[in-house]
Amino acid sequence: MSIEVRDVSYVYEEGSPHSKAALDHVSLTIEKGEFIGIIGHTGSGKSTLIQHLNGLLKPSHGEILYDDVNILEHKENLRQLRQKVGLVFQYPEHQLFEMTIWKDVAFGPTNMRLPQDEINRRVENALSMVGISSDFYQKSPFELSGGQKRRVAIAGVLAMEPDYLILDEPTAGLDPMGRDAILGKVMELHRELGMTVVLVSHSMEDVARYVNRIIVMDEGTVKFDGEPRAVFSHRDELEAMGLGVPQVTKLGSLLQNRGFRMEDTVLTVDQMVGQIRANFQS
Amino acid sequence: MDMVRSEGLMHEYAVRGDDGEVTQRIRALDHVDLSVQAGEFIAVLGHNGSGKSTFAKHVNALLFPDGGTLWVDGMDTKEEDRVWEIRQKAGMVFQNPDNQIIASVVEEDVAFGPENLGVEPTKIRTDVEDSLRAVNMLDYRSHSPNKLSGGQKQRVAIAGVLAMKPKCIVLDEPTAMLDPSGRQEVMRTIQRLNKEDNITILHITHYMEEAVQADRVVVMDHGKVVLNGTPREVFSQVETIKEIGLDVPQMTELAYRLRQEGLEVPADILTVEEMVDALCRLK
Repeated sequence: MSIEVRDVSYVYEEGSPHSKAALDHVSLTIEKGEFIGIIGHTGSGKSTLIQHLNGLLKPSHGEILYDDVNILEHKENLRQLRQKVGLVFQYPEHQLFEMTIWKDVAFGPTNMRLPQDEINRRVENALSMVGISSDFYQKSPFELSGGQKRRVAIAGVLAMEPDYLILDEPTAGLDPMGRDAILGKVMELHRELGMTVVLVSHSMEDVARYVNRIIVMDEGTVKFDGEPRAVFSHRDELEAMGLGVPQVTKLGSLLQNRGFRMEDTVLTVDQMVGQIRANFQS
Repeated sequence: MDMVRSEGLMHEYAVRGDDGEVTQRIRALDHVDLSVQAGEFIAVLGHNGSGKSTFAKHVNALLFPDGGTLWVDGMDTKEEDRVWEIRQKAGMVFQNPDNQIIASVVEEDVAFGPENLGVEPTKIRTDVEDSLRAVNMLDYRSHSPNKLSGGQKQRVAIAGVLAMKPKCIVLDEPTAMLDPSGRQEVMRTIQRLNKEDNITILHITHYMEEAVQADRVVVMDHGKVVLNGTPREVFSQVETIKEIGLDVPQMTELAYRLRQEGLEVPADILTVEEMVDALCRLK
């Protein structure tokens, strides 16, 4: 099972003097079960890319294959696709609109015309996945804190029971506790339910801590695609793109220049403590 | 001289039930005593609900004390006839750049404040130019704001405040919605206004690497000031900060962990370069 992006280009306002290629011959495959981080500065094409994954944007060139089938071939495909590939936009809490948290999360499954007991099961399940207890079901979403609102909005997408969950900067504007709560829940969904997660993020530290694979976008192309260690070993190139690497990763490479032994690219504080300990023990 | 001074500042929000009756009062500020010197650059940290934004709104006279007093440049915010003077002295920049820009051309947006003050048109023109130059956005004066990046929009919002000739600028999470390069643009602008034009800065943020750049860091929790000192003094309190649910800079956390392992690195390391020096000295 996979989503394949095959040689996709996307041009905004094609044919007008303002036309601009937001994606330029991008090819990549997202396998089921992966946890992928997409990084890139504003305008690098990362939001345009994820909007192709569930068919919100149509490629100007190239194709998107879901389990080897072109998603645009049948209208029916596209409707099913949007249930299987759940997209959580930036600031999703701005899209909460129902009177109660329960109704807001039930909106998607209700539109799918599922039987009522199935709707109930999904809503309860989705809310428990994001850590919202039943005491909150009948409250207005507007009584919640920013981080809680955002978790309810994510539950709205989870209630569609997608195979792929795509989150566009889910922690923007949250405080450190709100950030850890959201990323911790997403990690649980990945680890315990095997959900495929694509996380668009501006935080190198968050990406280094959670994902198995990083895709770096720059000027509409894929600059790097690989394991976090491999990608973050390109410190100079990433800094030139205005992205940088986690502070511990930078520390690792500076220490190496000063004669310390570093076994590999360092991604977390835990790993760094181990590496430094090894240097001082010998 | 104090640019901002609070003594026993209190603020309560009323929570109302379905019939509009007050069911609960939440104390957002609880006897806050805080002084900010003219020309200082202060970072205010605290998680959501800690009272930091409430404090910021008092400085801008958007809220008034339920107890205690707050002075801005010597003016008591309770004196109603000085509200406009206070708001001009202490300008405010908010989190969302899209909620602060109102005009369809950059320079008209910046001119909005002084126009409302009834400043003479030729003077407005030079003030707007000076303000846009100060945030490095003069080249965009005739552009439409909606085509700008987030960092550029925030700099236009700062220019709009500058055109009012403030002595102090309060920024409430101005970088929260920006990408890393936008964040850097805004931080560089704030730094320059503080160092070169001697404008007092109160910068509210969740980013520890921004707080490190300030002269002083104030940490708020449950409406109280719990830590107050230089970035080194404050961040070396790793345990207290973690208990509150905030981050410390990654290098300070590493220093804390290495000290637990028995390595004698200083507890108040803030940057990668300091950590490299400390470790090389030990080797």
